[in-house]
Amino acid sequence: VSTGRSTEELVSRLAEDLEPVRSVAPLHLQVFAVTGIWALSGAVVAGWLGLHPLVVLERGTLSTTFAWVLALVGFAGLTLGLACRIPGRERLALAAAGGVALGVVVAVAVGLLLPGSLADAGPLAQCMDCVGRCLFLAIPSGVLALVLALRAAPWRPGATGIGVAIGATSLGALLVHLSCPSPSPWHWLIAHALVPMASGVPVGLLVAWVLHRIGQRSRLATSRLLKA
Amino acid sequence: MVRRRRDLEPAARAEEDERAGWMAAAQRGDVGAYECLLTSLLPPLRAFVRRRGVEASEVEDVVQEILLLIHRARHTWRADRPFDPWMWAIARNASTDALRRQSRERSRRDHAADLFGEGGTDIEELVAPGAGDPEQQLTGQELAPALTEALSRLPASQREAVELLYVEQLSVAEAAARAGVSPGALKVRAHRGSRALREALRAEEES
Repeated sequence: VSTGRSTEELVSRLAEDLEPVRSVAPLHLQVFAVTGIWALSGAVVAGWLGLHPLVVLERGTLSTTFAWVLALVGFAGLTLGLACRIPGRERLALAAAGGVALGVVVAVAVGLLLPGSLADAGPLAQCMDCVGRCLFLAIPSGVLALVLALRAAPWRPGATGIGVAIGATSLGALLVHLSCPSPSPWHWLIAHALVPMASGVPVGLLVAWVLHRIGQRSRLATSRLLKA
Repeated sequence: MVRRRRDLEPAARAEEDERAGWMAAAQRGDVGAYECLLTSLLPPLRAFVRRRGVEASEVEDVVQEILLLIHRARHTWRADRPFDPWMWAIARNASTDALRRQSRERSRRDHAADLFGEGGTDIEELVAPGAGDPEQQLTGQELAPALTEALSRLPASQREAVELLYVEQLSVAEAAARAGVSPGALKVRAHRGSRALREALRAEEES
């Protein structure tokens, strides 16, 4: 970092460099803000696609299970992305990671137990349509979560990227699940759960890379400032 | 292991409260409070880093990394949250990074020993000032331009391998990924490059 300089000297330089800062918003407010944006996109979906939450219940237990799984993965993923950027909130981040893992395991388990075959998911175009909507609807909450994560500590880009991306795509998928008229459990599994979640992984890796580069630059800038 | 606040002795709790007060003042821009805070953190941080198993020669560097991270993340502490868990989380993170770096460095050295043999000549030996017999070595000042010159004459692929492994100090896997070749091919290139460098430097020495 600053080889050749004594630690006491570094303390003085850091103190000289001190500027007033505003604390980041409490974690629960950050999660509320992301939820608010998601709800707002839900309202838009209600006008655009037609949101029919009760249809989920009418379609039976399996459909409701998918809705709960998507909500779990969505909120847990976003909480993971936000909490892991705040020092001291590691336990919450760990619990959220557990939530994401549990949701994914349940979705996969449901898939293994489903009767029928992949062909029951319906035409490819219909599935791709739903997946595209999931990704599109992930943008508002994902971008807001990313902005909030960027304002926090410059570390753990991997967990942040993956958490935010999987969380946002799952919440987008939840809106699609609540509005999609398809009665096929295979369609729900593939187009509303597994593919959107899996799409979150490469997006998350890309976000992680960007966060990593931003962290490196900010670290270099601090080092240069102190050396100047 | 960081203890919960309710388990702390009253004196330790008072210390944490004092640190929290300094941090709150520092967030408002109070330089004096910030200096008090950072200075008070030095002894516990040094002890913590030593306990984590960081090599003695690197303890100060790691403590400095932690201080820098505290500085860059100071806005993530909130006055309604305890200070110590926040600070220890940063210390744990920075020291874990340092331990990973040390382990990479060790594996790189092991790899260099594999390539050149324990008693063989390594690039680092060539460039280390005062290494080996002083009369047989160029001085550091003479060596730097000679080494740069010799490096520039290497074929691009060998130069890249040598630079990735010995200048950027990447692991073999990382260097191979960066160069877009297999680890085995990278080792061969680095070996040939270092042999060519050694010969070039010897020629320089003799002339």
